[in-house]
Amino acid sequence: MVSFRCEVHQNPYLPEDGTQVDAVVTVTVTADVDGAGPAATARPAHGEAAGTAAGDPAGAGTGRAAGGGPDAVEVILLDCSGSMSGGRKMAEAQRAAAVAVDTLRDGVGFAVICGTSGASMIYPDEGLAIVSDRTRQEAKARIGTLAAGGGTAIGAWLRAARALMLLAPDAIHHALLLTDGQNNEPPDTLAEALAACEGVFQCDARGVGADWKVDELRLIATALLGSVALLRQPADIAADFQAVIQTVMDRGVRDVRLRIWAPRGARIRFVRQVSPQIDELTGRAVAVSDLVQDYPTGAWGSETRDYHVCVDVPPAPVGGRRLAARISLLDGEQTLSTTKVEVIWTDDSVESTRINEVVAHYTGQAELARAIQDGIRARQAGDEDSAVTALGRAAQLAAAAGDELTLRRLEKVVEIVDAQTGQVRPRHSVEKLDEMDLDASSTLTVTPKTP
Amino acid sequence: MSAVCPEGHLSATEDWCDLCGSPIAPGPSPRAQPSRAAGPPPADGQRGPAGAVDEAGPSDGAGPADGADLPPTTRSAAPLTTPPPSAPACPVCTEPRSGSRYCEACAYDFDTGTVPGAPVPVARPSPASHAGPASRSGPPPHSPPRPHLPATADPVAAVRSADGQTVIAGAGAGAGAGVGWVAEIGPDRAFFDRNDDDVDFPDLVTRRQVALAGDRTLIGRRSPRRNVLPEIDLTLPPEDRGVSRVHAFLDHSDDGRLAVTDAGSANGTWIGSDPRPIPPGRTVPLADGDHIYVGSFTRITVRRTC
Ligand SMILES: [Zn+2]
Ligand SMILES: [Zn+2]
Repeated sequence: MVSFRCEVHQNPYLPEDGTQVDAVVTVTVTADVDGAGPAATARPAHGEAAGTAAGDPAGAGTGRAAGGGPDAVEVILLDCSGSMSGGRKMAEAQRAAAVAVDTLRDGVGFAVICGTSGASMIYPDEGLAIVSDRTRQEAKARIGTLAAGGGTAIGAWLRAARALMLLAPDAIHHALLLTDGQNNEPPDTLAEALAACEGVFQCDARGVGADWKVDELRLIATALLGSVALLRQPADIAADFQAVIQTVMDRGVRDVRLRIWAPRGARIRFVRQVSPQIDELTGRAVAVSDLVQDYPTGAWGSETRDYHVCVDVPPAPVGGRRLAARISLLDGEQTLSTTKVEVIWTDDSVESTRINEVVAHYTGQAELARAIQDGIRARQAGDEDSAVTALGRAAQLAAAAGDELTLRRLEKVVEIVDAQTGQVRPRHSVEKLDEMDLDASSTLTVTPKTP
Repeated sequence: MSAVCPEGHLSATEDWCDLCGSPIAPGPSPRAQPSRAAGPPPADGQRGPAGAVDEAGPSDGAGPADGADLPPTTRSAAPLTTPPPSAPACPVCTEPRSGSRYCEACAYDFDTGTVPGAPVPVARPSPASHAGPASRSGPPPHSPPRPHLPATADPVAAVRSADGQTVIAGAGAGAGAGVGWVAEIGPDRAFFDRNDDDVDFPDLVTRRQVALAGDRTLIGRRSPRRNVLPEIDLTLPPEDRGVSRVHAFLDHSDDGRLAVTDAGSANGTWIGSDPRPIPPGRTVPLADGDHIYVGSFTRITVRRTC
């Protein structure tokens, strides 16, 4: 059994004629199985903290869905293109896939796919295998025989994963994708594959080495409600795979939607997940009625996520009160938790100009991600001035948030003279891996400092 | 359970107007606050929509006992909260009433005459008197879902209704995922309108997809007690009770052909625009993109995937 809890952070006071309402909703899921609390589950894998506590599965230990099929399906998509034969990449990818298979829970449906110019089954020969000691051994033996050769067609790999997912329609669906290069399909092919896969499964995307494109994997991870990360060394893959699979295995609630009601005449300006990473949800709204929108959030384990919701409401006279939003988490049609965003109009400017600290913090984190991405894009285009301006702003925001990891990544790309004022100088020799790491990690956020 | 807001709107929620957001009763201070807990969940686990009842998770019962789901004012205004003995069935889906406040099958609320997913209030206080209009009362027309996202209670299994993309399974040397056909299942308004069944068209028009594995697929309604476990199971939401337990078979052999056979269903099986149902027991070949119609509103579209 898992329980969902919503908490809202906002300044409920609006000035006369004020219409913009900002609120951050913190959703916390706790599992009550075997005393496995939130601490038993790691947050989605950061590049750094790879070793996760192998906690008890959060309410997901049965191995069987209601319909009799597996309750979860994991498809591992391994890049086996020719470039993977360089260095230790193929050997480490094989080792990582074996670790991933070992981390899967008994009873889960799984498959390992070899991705080249198409997609072929490594294990099983077709369809899905069910995890057991025997199938783990068979899969690992098969993984050990892999050889690299061929192209990179990520869209075809994702479609193959999708076909496998559809064999167990009632399960939690996840894929883990590893690549070391750029997609060489025609531009629309990947976009079409993503459109077909959206809502069918979630996917975490990993790039190893410096020859893949951050934007490409970010596109995949964003569409499929997953994360993207850079693995500097082939030797880093295994620990990351283990962390990712452990997180997925701990997810017990399959498919959760954020439902937002806003009053007539209101407009939802944006809905954005802001922790543990930034995901824009605004464009994913599905209208339930004129006043109600649903946003997909994927599967949940024991974890905490924050959502920033910004709504424009029709103004009311001073003293007026209004419900600006009703925000719920739904599993199917079952409401897991609900919270309300209420506002009151006041002529007390002290009240109305006070900014809620949590809202301010996450507004800054979203701007930080944008500043980093803008700065890197400007740098790559040779626009040094814009790069320095954007990355300086990024340093300032990171310092204000106490975001040490981001400051450290920034420091490798620009020389930070004074973070408080955003003064930075360009560096003339920057390792490509460092720039990619900064880019790929830009959407990870930190939680607000507790006062 | 409804209230009138200061601006005169009839609201299904009693704290704030579910149309304009105005406060209805003297509410709590507008300070930020955590979610409030409500009573135990209805027996069937179904909940009202977000705009209807303020609820927390089932295990989050430690909050104030505000009795949000049983306000005394409206209950005294409608003392006949249990249906008369002559009308023990749900007026929406005809499922016999189990004794709980909510219908086991569709979560119809016998006390208020509302169905889930209906953010607009229902003016009829006594739901059980007549089967027809009550079932048409609830939801406003839905905006169509965006094409890239399923608007469904079951998005994991759902696909875009316009998804004509092929599924590539194991395009390389190894065998594929063994998928030659997929069936896309969902409600069809035109078919529903053609029928005269006394049921609601589903609130949420959802479509899901089932890959046809093996060589035979059963269309029906799941009944573990009778060991009927259809691959295409119309007890899944939106449930179609017009479909027989064992309704029809899809046969798909290795040569890539697909055919349908009505297994002697109560209400028949239709293909395409043919106004007559197919004769029971006779195997009828199907082509890519063909529509099969079963039950009160279900359309099954078959698509070749390789
Ligand atoms: Zn109103
Ligand atoms: Zn019913």
